[in-house]
Amino acid sequence: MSLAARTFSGAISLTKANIAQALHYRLVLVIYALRQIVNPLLYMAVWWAVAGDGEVGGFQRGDVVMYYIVFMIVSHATWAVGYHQWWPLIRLGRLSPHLMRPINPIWVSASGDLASKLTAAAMVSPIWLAMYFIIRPEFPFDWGNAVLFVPALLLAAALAFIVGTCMGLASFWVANTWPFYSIWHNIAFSIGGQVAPIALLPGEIQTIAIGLPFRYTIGFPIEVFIGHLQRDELILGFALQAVWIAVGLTLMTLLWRSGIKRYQAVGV
Amino acid sequence: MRLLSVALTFTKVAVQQQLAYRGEFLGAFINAFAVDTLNAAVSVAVIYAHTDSLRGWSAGELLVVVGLFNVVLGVMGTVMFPSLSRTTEDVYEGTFDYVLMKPVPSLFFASTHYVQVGRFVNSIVGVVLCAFGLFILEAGALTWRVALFPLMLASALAIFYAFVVAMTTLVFWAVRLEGIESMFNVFFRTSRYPVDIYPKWIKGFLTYLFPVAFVSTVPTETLVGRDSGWLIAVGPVIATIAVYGATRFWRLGLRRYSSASS
Repeated sequence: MSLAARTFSGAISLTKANIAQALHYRLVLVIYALRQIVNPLLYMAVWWAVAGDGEVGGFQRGDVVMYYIVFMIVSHATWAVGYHQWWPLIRLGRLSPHLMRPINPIWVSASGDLASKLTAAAMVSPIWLAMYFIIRPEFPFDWGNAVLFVPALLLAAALAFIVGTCMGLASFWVANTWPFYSIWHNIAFSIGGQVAPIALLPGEIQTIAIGLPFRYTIGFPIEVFIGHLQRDELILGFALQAVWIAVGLTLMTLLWRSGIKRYQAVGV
Repeated sequence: MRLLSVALTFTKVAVQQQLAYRGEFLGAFINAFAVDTLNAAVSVAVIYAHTDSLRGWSAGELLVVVGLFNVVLGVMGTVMFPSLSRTTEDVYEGTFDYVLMKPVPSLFFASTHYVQVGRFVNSIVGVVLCAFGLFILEAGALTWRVALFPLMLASALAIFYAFVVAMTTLVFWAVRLEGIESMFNVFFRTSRYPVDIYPKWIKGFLTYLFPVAFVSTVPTETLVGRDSGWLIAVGPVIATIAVYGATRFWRLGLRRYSSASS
């Protein structure tokens, strides 16, 4: 078997093992599911109130509702599971056995990420459906947008995973990386598409939000689904998403290579 | 008086310990101060770029609401959560024995002995946001209701203190309690906005069952002179019942505690 094929089949086995593991923590899943509903519902309520019976910045009431339902799906797919694994690995020296294995621990983390999301999806996807059928938003569904949504979602998940991993790898240098990651989350909250769809942000802030990576982990796939983007906006969006992934991958590789040199088997 | 000086000592020790990790402290500080303030400002700016009133709430009033949410969040994150979550660990590990041996009431010790200093920044951010909101409102129209504001804020803190105590007490039955703080926070975050924006049944839930309405909505109403009707009287009543109930529940829980193997 080639190296790539072996890595791939290794990742599949790890995913299976991780699925079994993820099912152990049911309470965590319940809390996760609650947070998944309550946060988007809050902003759905805000924009529902603002839109009233009319519209706000081109968003009908139905669009707003649909935006935040799709938000639940995207935020599930881009939830950073892997981040939390890095601190104990690096700081407590538990990385050592991983270094003996013929697979890069980042793959282990990626498979864990995938496994958690798949198992948790079984729990949260009924909620998404329930939301849709309870509120029944008036929304013109479009197959073309739904198809484009898939790559946008996968790329967003990849970018979010890379960002989480970079933040986690920072443990090679910093004792507690959470404050920094939490700054990322907070900015993403404002200009990534949670507080409001990017299209509703005022002038300058909107331009900044389109350029920075935050939108490409949350807002962009939703916008693709909702279908308010013009052709060139779509192209620019996918292009920037790809650019940020490339930047992220480079950074992640650099952090891993230089971090591993600092690592001293008993931790840092 | 003696309890107060004990609490002050806990705080002093915590400050000394936590300032030792300067990078972390700075990160938390920047995050809470710059980013949270910016966040709140951006969200309010975005909303009011599209409307003048959010279900009857103006931009200034909303800033006060968001501010108060942060004030209460800061207080809870500084004192209540860190101490009580350590208590759940103590019960799990059996070290709660030492808590019972201390010459201060167990609930007092359990809810004050560990302070997370950095989180207090949230409260400072909250005060800044409130001040900014009142500035925008040109708070000339202060009414007699303002006098009730401290009482409302105290009620809010008391209600949620009772909530957290009650949740912590569950540890005597459940032994292992993880993620309770996250669960609490999920619902608590709804108080970032006035309860008026929610559908009626959710508003009812947030007023009487999980009364976050008293965290930000009602105190803001007293501060800016909006009429919140009889809710002004309801707050202190709920607070009194809640604190009384929580302490009784704590004592009930204590009786369940069976030392190291609990």
